[in-house]
Amino acid sequence: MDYLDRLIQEKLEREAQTKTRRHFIKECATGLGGLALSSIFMGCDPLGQPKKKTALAFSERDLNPLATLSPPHNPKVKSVIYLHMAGSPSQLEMFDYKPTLQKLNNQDCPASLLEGKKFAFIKGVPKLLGPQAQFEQVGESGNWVSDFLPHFKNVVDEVSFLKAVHTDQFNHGPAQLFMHTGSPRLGRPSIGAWATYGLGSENQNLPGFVVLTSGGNTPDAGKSVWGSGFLPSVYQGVQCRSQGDPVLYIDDPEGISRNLKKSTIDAINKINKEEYLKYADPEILARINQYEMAYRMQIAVPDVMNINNEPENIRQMYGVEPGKESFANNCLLARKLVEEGVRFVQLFDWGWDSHGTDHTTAVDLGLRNKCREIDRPIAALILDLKQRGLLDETLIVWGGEFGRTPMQENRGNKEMGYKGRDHHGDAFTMWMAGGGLKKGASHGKTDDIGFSGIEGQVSVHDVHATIMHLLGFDHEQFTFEFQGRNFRLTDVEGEVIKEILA
Amino acid sequence: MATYSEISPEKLKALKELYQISLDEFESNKESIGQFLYFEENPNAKLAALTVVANAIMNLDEFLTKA
Repeated sequence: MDYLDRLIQEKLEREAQTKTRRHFIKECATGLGGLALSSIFMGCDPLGQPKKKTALAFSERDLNPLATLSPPHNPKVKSVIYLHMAGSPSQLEMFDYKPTLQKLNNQDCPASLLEGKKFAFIKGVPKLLGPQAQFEQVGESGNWVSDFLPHFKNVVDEVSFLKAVHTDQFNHGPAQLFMHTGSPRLGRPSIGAWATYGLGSENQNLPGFVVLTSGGNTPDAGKSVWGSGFLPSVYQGVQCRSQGDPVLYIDDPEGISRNLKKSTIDAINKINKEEYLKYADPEILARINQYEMAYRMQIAVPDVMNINNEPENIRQMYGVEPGKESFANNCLLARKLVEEGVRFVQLFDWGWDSHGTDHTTAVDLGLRNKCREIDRPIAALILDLKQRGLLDETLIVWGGEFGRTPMQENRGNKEMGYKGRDHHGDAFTMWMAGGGLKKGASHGKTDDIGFSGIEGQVSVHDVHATIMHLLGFDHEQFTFEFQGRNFRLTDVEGEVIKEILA
Repeated sequence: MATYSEISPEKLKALKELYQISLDEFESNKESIGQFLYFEENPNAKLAALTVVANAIMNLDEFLTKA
């Protein structure tokens, strides 16, 4: 009896404790709760028309959040594959050729350049570091590519370079958040979340926004770089595992039939819908939709995420390593996902932070190896999409969160054993390829040592505005009302980079 | 007990229906009972059906989110 008494006591205590958040909103609805709800459910449709959402009925969109929507303007592409080199690759060893920097190699950096600048690790007066790779002009476009990327040279004419991108962030976390959400602070939706919110997805059996990582680590900024911010949670990126089963426990347990699984999901969702009608918390809607999605994914995911059923020549083309976590595997998966109608595929590859603290981060050693890991897969991705007629309706974006200094890093104001470069946000290279872009274009120029942009400088917001334009949105009109004002991916800045549009 | 609240008639009905569907299925396919409850010494259809219902309860939003 003693045990039973204690159990009852515990139940009563817990009951009292649980009467908090939703209870407060619900049972006190006439007062404070009602006030809170009216601000929570002021939604906005993707076309920018403010509308009041009533919490009590399920709209079409509530129950089919990934149903395909048409953008307001003529879209140039249907889907996006974003290749992010986490850590930030050195533009000076890959695309931005600076012979003058070679001549000035090992000379002190002029004080005028350092004035008022902050670096992550550089102290005192660093020395300039010439390019550690051999460059040549390739393709009909004659754009510069280094010998770190031999396969990429074959696709250079498909690519549009942005040679003078700048960011105001020089640490990885905030810079990654800025690059993916338009703000260096937490809380904003990522580009992929905006895209799936605005366009839904072409395939209802797969998430509209898939994230794949490689290189052994996830980005410094954490999962917020593919978060949904203030948009409904259903639009956040779904990370699939890059090794082993893409989604854990995707198989039904032994003895449970597909029908019984469906009945279980139906019962759960019926009850969750009751719960939603009672509390009108949009997070419940997200859960209802994710359970439905999970059920449908059980059939679709094992197939699309299996690279072993691709023909041998395709697997060789990408250089895949079945069973391992690799960027090559992820590039092939990205093609398969886009082919199946997934809206946004986000790849992160870790290991590009070339500070020169050891051989793996030296710009002449580790960086060369990192380039080798991405070179063939990226060239294959572009060629494979092209041969399938998908390149014209896909946008590929490549870049890091910032660039690297023309100066050699001198951590602790000492000469270091390996050659490295510090974080640098003033000028770095990104490129895009795919529909609606000028092939072989190169926009923007940096000064003779690659320190600052001197022509065609573009900001992170400009890159975002351009991505939105290609997807069929005017970035200034595509807004979501939150906390009393309209927010957009580019917030109050950003201009479409017309120079690289076809 | 799982959510420290009284169940509403609609929710109870949904769970009872799930129990019945599960029970029918396990009874018509006895082999699946042992597969599903492989860890049980004396698995039976009733226990299997209750397991499905318990699993559903533990996946409810009100169970996972402190309502």
